[in-house]
Amino acid sequence: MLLIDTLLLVLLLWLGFKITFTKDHFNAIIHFIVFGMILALAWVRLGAFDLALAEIALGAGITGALLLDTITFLKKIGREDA
Amino acid sequence: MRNKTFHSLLYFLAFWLFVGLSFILTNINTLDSSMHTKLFEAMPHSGVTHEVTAVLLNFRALDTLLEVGVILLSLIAIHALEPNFRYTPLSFENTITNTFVAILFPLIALYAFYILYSGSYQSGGAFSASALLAGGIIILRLVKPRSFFVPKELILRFLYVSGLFYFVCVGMISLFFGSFLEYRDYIASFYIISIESVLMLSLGAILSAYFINAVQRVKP
Repeated sequence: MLLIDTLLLVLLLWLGFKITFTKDHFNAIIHFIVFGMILALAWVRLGAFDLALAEIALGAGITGALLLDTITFLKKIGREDA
Repeated sequence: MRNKTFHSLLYFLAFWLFVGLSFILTNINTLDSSMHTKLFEAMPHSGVTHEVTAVLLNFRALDTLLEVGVILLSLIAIHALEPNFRYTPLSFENTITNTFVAILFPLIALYAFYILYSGSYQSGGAFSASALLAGGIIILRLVKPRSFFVPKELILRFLYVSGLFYFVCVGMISLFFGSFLEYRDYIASFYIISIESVLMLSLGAILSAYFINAVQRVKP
């Protein structure tokens, strides 16, 4: 169990680092969605199942969809740097 | 480069915030145990059997009320932004996704209702249920953009506000028997279930409107 917890913690820190420092925004968004899912697993390990459910649905699902839509829109209106 | 110094300053501050938070986290022993005994003494009067739901909707109901207010406020901010572009659906309907969603969406809705109902005796409740419902609506919007039914703006606005409105109404009613949002025993169970039901529909509408309104509003 300690192994799983350590793995989750290291993965979360690494994903947070990647989200902050990745140059490609699409890449960062995918990392963000994965981060939300791993965070939900961490909530499950802490025994907060309702938080885990909300994190999956809101953090990974709705925010991810919104960010992906935003980046598609920004690319469409010609903001390639976005 | 002013931008670069600003960024490095930001990283520096974030690093020290991280160090400080870790330091605080290691120094927390356990939560105050008197809170536990107080909670378990009050549980039989809360109207539900699950502790988290009892805290959220009975003992600390005012916090939840304000939380719903914050969510509604953020939707009002999105409405105020006036995005003057027309949303064109990115996806095209095809048989595979249509069939998949036709099976998936009723299951998601059913599961949301189950989560809502089971919140009184296990983990779950209005917030998780509304998040699930909103996710289902967004999937429906993404996959079947042309056959998606949007109710009239007035009905939608009423739906957005209904959660907060009903919550405040319950608070006002409980004002006659005690203080604001304080209810006990048999009436508490009814209040909590009804508040959660209204909150699920209202918050589900708000959360899905984050996505749909932000990308679908057209200039009047």
